Amino acid sequence: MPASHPDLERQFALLGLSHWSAPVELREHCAVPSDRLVARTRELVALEGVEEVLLVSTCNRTEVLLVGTGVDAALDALRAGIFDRVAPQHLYEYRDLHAVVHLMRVACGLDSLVLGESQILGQVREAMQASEDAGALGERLRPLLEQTLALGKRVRTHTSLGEGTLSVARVAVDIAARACGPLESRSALVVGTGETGILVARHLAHLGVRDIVFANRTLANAEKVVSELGGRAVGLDALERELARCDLVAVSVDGGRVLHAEQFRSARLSRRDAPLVVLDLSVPRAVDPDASELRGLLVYDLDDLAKVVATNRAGREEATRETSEMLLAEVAKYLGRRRVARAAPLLATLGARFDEVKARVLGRHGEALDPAALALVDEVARELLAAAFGAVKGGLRGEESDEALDRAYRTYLERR
Amino acid sequence: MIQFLAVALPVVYLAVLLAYVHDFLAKSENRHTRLRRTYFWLALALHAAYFAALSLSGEGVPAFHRLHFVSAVALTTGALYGVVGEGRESTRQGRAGVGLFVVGLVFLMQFVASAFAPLTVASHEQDPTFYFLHVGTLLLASASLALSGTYGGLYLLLYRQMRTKEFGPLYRSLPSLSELAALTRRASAFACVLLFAGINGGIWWAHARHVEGFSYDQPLVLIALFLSLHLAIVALSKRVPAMNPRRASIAATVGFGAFVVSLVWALVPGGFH
Repeated sequence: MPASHPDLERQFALLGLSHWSAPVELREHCAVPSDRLVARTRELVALEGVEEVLLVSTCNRTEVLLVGTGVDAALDALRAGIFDRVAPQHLYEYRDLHAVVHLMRVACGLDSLVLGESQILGQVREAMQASEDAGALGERLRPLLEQTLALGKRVRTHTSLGEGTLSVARVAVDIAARACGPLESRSALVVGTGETGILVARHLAHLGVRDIVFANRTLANAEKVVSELGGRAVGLDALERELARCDLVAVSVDGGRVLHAEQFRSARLSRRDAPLVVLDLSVPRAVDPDASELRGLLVYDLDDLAKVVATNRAGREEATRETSEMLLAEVAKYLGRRRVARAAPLLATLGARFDEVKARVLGRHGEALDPAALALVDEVARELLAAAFGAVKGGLRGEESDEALDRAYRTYLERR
Repeated sequence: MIQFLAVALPVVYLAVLLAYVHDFLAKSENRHTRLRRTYFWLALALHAAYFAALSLSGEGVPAFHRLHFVSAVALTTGALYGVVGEGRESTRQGRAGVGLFVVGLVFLMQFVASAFAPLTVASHEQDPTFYFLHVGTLLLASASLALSGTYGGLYLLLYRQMRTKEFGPLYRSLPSLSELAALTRRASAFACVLLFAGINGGIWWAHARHVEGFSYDQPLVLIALFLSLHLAIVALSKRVPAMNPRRASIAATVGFGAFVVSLVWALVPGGFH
C-alpha cells in the first residue's frame, strides 16, 4: 500500500528533525519555546493550502504536521523558515500514512531518546492544546490526536515498554550517580522549574539527596516547587554562590544560556571531592559548551544522554513489537473512521431520501392503518435503516487489511 | 603435587579471568556473574594449597625467593580484594568491575611465578614474630599497594571516559568515581601503615636478635619509607590542599609503579636478605 491513502482525503505532511537526525546545535536553533507555540502554530496554519497544523517542539525534536490541500508550498516555506539553517540530510519528511504512523510512534515513545519515556505524551498533548488555541485543529487532526493520546496512554499501562529507565531526567540522574556515588549525602542545584526540572528533582529526592536548591528566573515559581518538594528557592542571580556549594547541577530552562564557563570558577573545581556534574537538559543548551573543557567539571547535554540510553533499547524488542501492533491497529481504526466520515454526506443523503420515501408511502396508505400499526411500520423502517447503515459503516471501518498496513509500516521503518 | 599446582594455577586464574571478562562485557547480571565469585574463591583456595605444599616441602615460608614472593603477593592481593572489595562491589551493583583488573593482575603475577619459581623452599628463619612483624605485614602492604594502584588507575580511566563521554563497559561496570576515589584512599592508608610497620618491625626485630642485613641505610628500606610517606599523602588527600581525587589517583598509580620497579630492581640479584 502506498503511503498516500485515499481515506486521508487531504494531504498529510510531516517535516522535522530529532535527536536521530540532527545534533543538539541544530535542534536548539529550531526549538520553539513553549510560550511561542500558539503564535507559531497560528502563523503556520495561515500558510496557503494548509488547513490544520500540529507543532511539536521538545528538547529532542521539532516537528510540524500539516494537513491541507496543497502542502508542498507550505513545506518549502517551513524549510525556508523554522528549519532555515538545517541541511536536508538532518530533516525528515513523511507523507500521508507515514506521517500518521510517525506521529503515533512519537507519542508512544518508540521514537524517543529513552525508549518508552512518558514525558513526550504530555508534550504532544501540549502541542494539541496549542493547535486548538491557534484554531489549527479540525476534523482530521483532532480525532487523530485524540486516538494518538489514548494509544500512548494504553501503551504505558498495557505493555512493558514503559518499565525501567523511563525519562531523560532519570538517565541524567543515573549519570550523576556514576560520578558522585550514592547521592544521599550530596546537594543538588536544579535550574529551571519546568516539567523536566521537577522530574529531575523528584528523582533526586527519591534517591535521598540531602539538599536540593531550586533556581529560577521567577522566584515565586521556585518557591512553589519548594513548597511541594522541599529544599530552598533562589533566583538566577544566586547561581555562582550555589555552584560553589553543590555536587551536581541540572539545568532545564527555555531561552538560551544561563551558565557560562566563568561562573564555574567560583565552584572551586580543583579542590572538590568529586567532579562537579552538570546536566544540561535544555534546548537550546543553557550551559556554555566551553565549560566542558574545564578540569573537574563533567558536562552532559542531551546528545550525551543519547549515548547512554542506546543500551536501554537493547532487549526491548518484544515490547516494541507489541506496541507496533497496537499502533497499527489504531492506524487502521483511524482510517476506518475517516472512511466513515467521508461516507457521512452520502449516508445523510440516503437517510433523508429514505425518510422522504417513507413519509410518501405512509401518507398514501396511512389511513388504512390504525395508529398502533402505523407506529410499528415506522419503527421497523427506522430499525432497518439503522441496521443497514450500521453494516455499511462496519464494512467501511474494517476494510483495511493487516498486510497492507504492515507493508506501509515496513516502508516507513525502512525510510528512517 | 607442587609441580601440578604450579602449572594448574595460571590456568585456573585464566579461567577465572575469562569469567570476569564475560561478566564485565555482559549488559546485565547472568549465571556467570553469580558463579564468578565461586570460581574466584576456588582459585584462591588452590593457591593457598600450593603454598601449603611448598611450605611442607621445605623448612620455612616460601616468601624469600623473589618469585615465591611475587606468588605470595598475588595470593594476598586476591584474598584482600576478595574480603574487602569483591563482596562490597557485588552486594551493591551485582557485579565486580574492579575484579576483572585485580584478577588480571593476580593472573599475571602467578603466571610469572609459576613459570620461573623453584619448586623447593630453602631453610629460613623460624621465629613466628619475624613472620608476623615483617613478612606478613609487608605482604599485606604490597597487596594494598597493588589495590591502591589498581583503584587509582581505574579512577583515571573512568574519569577519562566520562570526560570524553564514552559510556562503554567501564562506565557500566566500575563503581562510581567517588567510590573509586574513596577505595584508593582507603587502600593507600592501609598500605602506608603496613609498609611503615613492616619495615620498622623488621629492623626492630633484627636489632633485638642481633641479626645482620636489616638497617636504615639500605636503599630498599629508604625507598619503602619514602613510599609510605607518599601513600600517606594519597590517603589524606581529602585534607591536603591541591590534592583532588584525580591527583590522588595519579599519585597512587605512580606509587604502585614505583613499587613494582623497586621490587624488580631489588629482587633481580636473587632475593631479600
